[in-house]
Amino acid sequence: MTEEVVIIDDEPANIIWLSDFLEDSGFKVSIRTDVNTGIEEISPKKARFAIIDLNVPVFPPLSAQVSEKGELYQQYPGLFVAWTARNIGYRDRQIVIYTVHRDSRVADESKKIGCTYIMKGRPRMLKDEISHIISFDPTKED
Amino acid sequence: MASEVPQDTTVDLVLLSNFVHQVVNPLNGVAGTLDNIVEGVVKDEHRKEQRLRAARAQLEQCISLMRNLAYFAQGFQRLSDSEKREILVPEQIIRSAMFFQEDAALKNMTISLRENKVPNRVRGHLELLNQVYINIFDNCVKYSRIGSKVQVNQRIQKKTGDLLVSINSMMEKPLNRVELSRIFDLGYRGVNARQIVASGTGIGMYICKKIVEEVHGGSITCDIIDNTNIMFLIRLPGAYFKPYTEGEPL
Repeated sequence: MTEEVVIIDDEPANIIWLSDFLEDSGFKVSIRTDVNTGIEEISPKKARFAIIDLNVPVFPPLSAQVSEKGELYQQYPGLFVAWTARNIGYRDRQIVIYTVHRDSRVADESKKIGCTYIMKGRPRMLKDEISHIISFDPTKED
Repeated sequence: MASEVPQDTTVDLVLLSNFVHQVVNPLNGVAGTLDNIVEGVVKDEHRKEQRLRAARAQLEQCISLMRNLAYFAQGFQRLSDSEKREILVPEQIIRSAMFFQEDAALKNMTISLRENKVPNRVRGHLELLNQVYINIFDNCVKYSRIGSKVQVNQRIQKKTGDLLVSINSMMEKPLNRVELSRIFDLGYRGVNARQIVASGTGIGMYICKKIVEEVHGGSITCDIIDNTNIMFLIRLPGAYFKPYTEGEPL
């Protein structure tokens, strides 16, 4: 069965290259453009991994939960998707978050949550990271 | 010799940071697309061409953003007569809309100019007015409903001799009427826009107002129609009708 990868990014036209790359690697790609639909996509079934842009919109009722998580989550709502994913059984190497700007607070939070944090801008870096993830099968390791 | 730093030189770091974000995103798309093609990830020839066209549109997007930044940095002064040139209005609108062919196609949208063969003309700054249409079309494509049409009309108002260009599009998420007065403010982005794309510069509409009003002595307004559509109305003085001449695009 084809495994699914979920991409959450509010500007899908800019990440079609990533979708092409993942499809060529044998995955089915689902793109979602906000926190709410992103969580809907990853919650009922386990995707192989999720790639999450941190600057994505969030709507009620989840916006209240994002606000409760504090200022950093309000600034980067995609963090809430990563946090949710880690709390419903996704492992650290299955969650990749990215931003355009370097932010040490995000780096600290990603360590706390346990996920991979990379900067947007260098497609080769993201591809290398994905190759690293693909080499790991979460169903076969503890 | 000590270097002189102008006293009024200030850098808006938030604006600059937003710009970087807005430029890196499409550039990332271009680099990723080219990398895929070089690496043989995209094999189908039709798809390859489609991706290259999209990459070109992303580069155009970056150029528009950088131009906005440059115009912002230069400031806005009223045009002198020597800077003005005759502009064929339908040609300018169609050429500006063509930058968005790929993005519009992705959302199954069209941009349509009804009076596309009516050779109305205006004297102004070609590149600056291009930027006005490009910024508005950019907004329309980004924030309009999938499958909708951006309807453009152009005519000369008999009473005043002004050129009137209206651009009407159906919003994906409605704009609150109380926000209308802030649409042209520097750095302002509507709540509905932020619900579709989280980040943005909020400079495009500000630049439009400066170019139309301060540089050309016209006006630009926007209004909500039937709670679903937003309409921009550009008014430029001194318009005139002159039949097409040989060599001009029909």
